[in-house]
Amino acid sequence: MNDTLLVASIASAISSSTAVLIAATGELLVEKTGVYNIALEGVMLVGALAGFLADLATGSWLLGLLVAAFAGGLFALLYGVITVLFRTDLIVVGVALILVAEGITSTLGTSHVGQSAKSVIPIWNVPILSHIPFLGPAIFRQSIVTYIAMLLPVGAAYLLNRTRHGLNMKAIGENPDAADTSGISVIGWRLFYTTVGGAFAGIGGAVITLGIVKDWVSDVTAGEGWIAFAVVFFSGWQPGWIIVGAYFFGSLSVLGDVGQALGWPIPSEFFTILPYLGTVLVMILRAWLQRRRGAVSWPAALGLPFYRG
Amino acid sequence: MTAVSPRSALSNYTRPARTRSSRLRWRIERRAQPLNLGLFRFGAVFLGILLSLAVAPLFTSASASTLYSSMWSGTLGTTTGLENVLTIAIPLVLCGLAASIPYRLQLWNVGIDGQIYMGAWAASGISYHLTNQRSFIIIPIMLLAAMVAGGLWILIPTLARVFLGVSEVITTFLMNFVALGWLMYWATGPWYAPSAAGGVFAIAIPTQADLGLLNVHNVVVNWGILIALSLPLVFWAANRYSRWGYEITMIGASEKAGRYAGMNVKRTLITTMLIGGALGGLAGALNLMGTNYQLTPGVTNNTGFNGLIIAVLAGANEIGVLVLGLVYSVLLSAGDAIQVVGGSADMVFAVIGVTLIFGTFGEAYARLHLVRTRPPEVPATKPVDAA
Repeated sequence: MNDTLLVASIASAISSSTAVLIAATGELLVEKTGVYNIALEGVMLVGALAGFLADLATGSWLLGLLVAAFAGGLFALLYGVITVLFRTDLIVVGVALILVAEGITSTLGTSHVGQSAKSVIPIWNVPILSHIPFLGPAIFRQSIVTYIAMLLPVGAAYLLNRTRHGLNMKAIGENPDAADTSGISVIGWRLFYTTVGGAFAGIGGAVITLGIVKDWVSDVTAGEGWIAFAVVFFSGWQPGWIIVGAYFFGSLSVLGDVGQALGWPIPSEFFTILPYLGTVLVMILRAWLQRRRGAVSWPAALGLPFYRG
Repeated sequence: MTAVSPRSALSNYTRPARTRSSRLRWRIERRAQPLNLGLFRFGAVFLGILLSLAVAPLFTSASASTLYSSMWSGTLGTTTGLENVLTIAIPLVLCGLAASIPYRLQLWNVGIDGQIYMGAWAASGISYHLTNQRSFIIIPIMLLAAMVAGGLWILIPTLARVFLGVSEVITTFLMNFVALGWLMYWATGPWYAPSAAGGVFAIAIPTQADLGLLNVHNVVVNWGILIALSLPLVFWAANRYSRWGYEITMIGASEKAGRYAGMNVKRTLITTMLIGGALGGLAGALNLMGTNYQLTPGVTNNTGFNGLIIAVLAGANEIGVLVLGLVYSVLLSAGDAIQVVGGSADMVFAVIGVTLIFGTFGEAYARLHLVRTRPPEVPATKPVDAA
């Protein structure tokens, strides 16, 4: 493999991981409070279309991302209200909302299929670092959002481990009864973080339509929401591993292009399935390693409805 | 003389109780005695369907009367409509069963679409080698191959769930994409058949592998419908009267109880998931042999997801799966019918999602109620006297 191709592949792997990275970080915050938003795929789709339409209307990618965050947050809040407030089954409602999102976005987006985004997220060459021979073009010539996305898990780690509020969040996810007794609003914060996680996922979706694919097709997220969901499980609920998981996924998804460029005698469908198959296998491998170490790390109240008393 | 600090001057002052906490507040609480869950769920689903029908004209360019009349003639109003409904019902009921049987053990089979692909793939593959055989040999072999393929497809997520605790929701779903890629490889590669109409199609299966047609009062449906109508009854009976059904009921209620009773919990979990996968594969084969006749990605159209929804709304009751499967077939056929007058077929997915949310709300209403209470008075603490 020559250097140019390697550089291009690394750059492409990093940029195509961005959406998963953002969505997974948001989902981590949600799950730390004991709720999992399995409708992530649907939230990303809603964000992807909302951001795309706002971008078309205003010609500003930044407004697109903001609208995507708002739409994603609202859609996730709907999920939160149905599941957290009315104590319904997370998986059932998640599947239902994914279908709702697919139906609504394909219907509303019909007339825009194949249209390109008006303003795309710009590339920012980091001043000095981008001139480093090999690493520069590979890592430091990305879209602005990509750099921010890299910092998000760091911010999440700080929030969760270094602030009082983060400890409260973890208390809600580990032992909601204790948190409730000490005066923390369990339902309130769960709804809040479901919305925040949705806003993250919405931005993640819009990053696909405004930064990665740069146009709209039905079902544009193609399972990335599910992969983000899987990345959180894979991470063992640790922010650092979110980065590893997301970039692992990104690397698998560019492997197909590499294979094509080098003329590997492997059918292209194999590369299409690789990110999904790889995610499944890695989840199993990690669970197996954790089993051997005897460490189980999910928040103890994850997925359980909260009843006072 | 010492100066009195403002702080000690306040020491005898008791803070009045905060008004906010003593206000009447709305709260959601569990009912002491839950209402009839199934009744409220079904009622809410039908309410959701009616509501969706009522607002449907707002989302289409066609007039309300054209819309409703095309829905009626596309479903129950005409012979062709009825045939459509019954044909769609075949895979839908089977997928409902594929989800509902694991669901009795709180296991989620979200990978039914993948099992459909793999079932159809296996049935196609084996039929190419049996082109000289008669129908009564080739059809059972194809159905069997499809069931084995569907079962194998769910094997890895199942083992990962049972032995390592890996969430089967994620793994079974992600395997759908893998199955689609696998199907695309065969349909565009080794089994590729050029198609004038465009789209991905593999070589047609031999004609003697096509399912025969039944004619009841001029309504013509392939006899896969007999499988779809009878399997729910078979599984319903098995769940009530067989040892396997008893084990499922017991372990579904409490895994611990099952273990204490000496049941092999892991084996039951695995066999139940494999049966779910096999039913998904069977649905794929019946679609292939009854409607598509060629391996194509169109062999499933979110049928697996819809099956999952049916299973949940039916509360994993097999008879409920059959009834709701037929109801949802009517909905899906109506969705196909309104495309002709300018409606969007994708909207049907939204409608199905909405009915599912209605169903969960109905169930929530049966379990919870909204009460307006004042929080219990906190006894005021006596001010501590200064020594």
